[in-house]
Amino acid sequence: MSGNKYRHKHKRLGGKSFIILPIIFCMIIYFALFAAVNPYLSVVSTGMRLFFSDKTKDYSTEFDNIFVPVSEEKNSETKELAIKDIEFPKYGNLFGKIIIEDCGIESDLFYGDSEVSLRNGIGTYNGSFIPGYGRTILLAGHNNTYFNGLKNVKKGQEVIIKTSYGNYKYKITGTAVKKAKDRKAFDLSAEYENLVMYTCYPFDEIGLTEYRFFVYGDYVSGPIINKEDK
Amino acid sequence: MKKLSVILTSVLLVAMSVVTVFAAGINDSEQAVLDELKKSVNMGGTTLVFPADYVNQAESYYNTIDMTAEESEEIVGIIKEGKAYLEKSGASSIAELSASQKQELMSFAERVAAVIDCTVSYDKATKTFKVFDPDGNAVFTGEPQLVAVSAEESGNAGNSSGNNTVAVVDGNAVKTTGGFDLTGVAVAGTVFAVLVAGAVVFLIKSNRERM
Repeated sequence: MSGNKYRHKHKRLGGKSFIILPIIFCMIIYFALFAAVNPYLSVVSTGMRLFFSDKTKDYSTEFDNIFVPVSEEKNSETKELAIKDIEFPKYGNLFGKIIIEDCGIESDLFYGDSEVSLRNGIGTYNGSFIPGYGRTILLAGHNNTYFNGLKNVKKGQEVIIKTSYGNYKYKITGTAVKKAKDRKAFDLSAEYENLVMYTCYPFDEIGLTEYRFFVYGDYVSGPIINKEDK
Repeated sequence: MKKLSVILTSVLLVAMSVVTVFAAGINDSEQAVLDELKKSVNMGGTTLVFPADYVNQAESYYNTIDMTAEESEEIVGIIKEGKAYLEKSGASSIAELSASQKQELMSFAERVAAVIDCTVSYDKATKTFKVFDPDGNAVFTGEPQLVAVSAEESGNAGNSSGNNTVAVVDGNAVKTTGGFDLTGVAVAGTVFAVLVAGAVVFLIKSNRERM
């Protein structure tokens, strides 16, 4: 009896279910996949571009580049800089380059750690300061791209940061794996120049991780910004 | 001809002596605002301050502008007004404020930003408060929060002197620097598998009924 009922229902649809159902399923699947993958598309596309694109980066659309390298000769002559002579980078500006030769890291340095900055290089948190300012410099980079080399970092290695106003050297003093929310991982109110770099940990893990790998460095050389010389 | 050459030489010399001068660091007016930002506020018996990185963000932005004394006075006045409002609110944290009180707090922030031609926005989804400069660049990003000054936080690393206290804690300094999360893809894959299974069951049932 019940079988007849279903057969009747099926007949009433006239085989339309074979068209309607796949369409509905397809729509649901596409929607689910889109909702799940969409937030990560930009990261994936950046990763893909790193490996497959042979085109020169177009800086003009995403950010302003204010980085003009300073020669080593000029840099060694300058011990102190008047703050009025420095062009402070604005949020999103490419303002320098960071090099850790021993780790194979050489990347553009941005002011601000937005998604765009981290997609294109290393970001400086704007709640920290620029090199030479005499405060904490907090740098972030993706573990699967620009800061992947941090896994090879060792105490005593040299970090070079080049900016338009001077070239700076820092010496790595230590590393630590700490929770992202660890409030004692660094000190943004420190009144001395110190470098803190971090990336997601474990390295090479595909996924959002709870931990960060922190690398700490002490200032070695580079022109000090004189904040009183206004 | 001689006059012309003198004028040209003068112009050339002036042009050669031009030195680019940028917004010159933190002036006294800007320092006054920073000092006010570092001062604590008492909410429901709890001493609270802005996170250190929030004050740093303000300092970094002030390095790119030149605030006048009038602007500084106005901003300091609004901040004081805002702090007095918080102290009278009866709440012991920003989270405890009512919706209308939070709206009022937002209006203080808007007024402060407007003095230096900035704008503010609040994203409810991410609970992020942003300040944009006149060119539309984000100059401040953070959750609207004040943090308690505990002995632990204002210990060695902190900067504490009298009523001027900056907490060591950070607001949202550490970002996500991992790759992409495959959890979502896994969920979508599961949904996909369930749907396919459902479709197969449906087709088998239909075939049986036909038979």
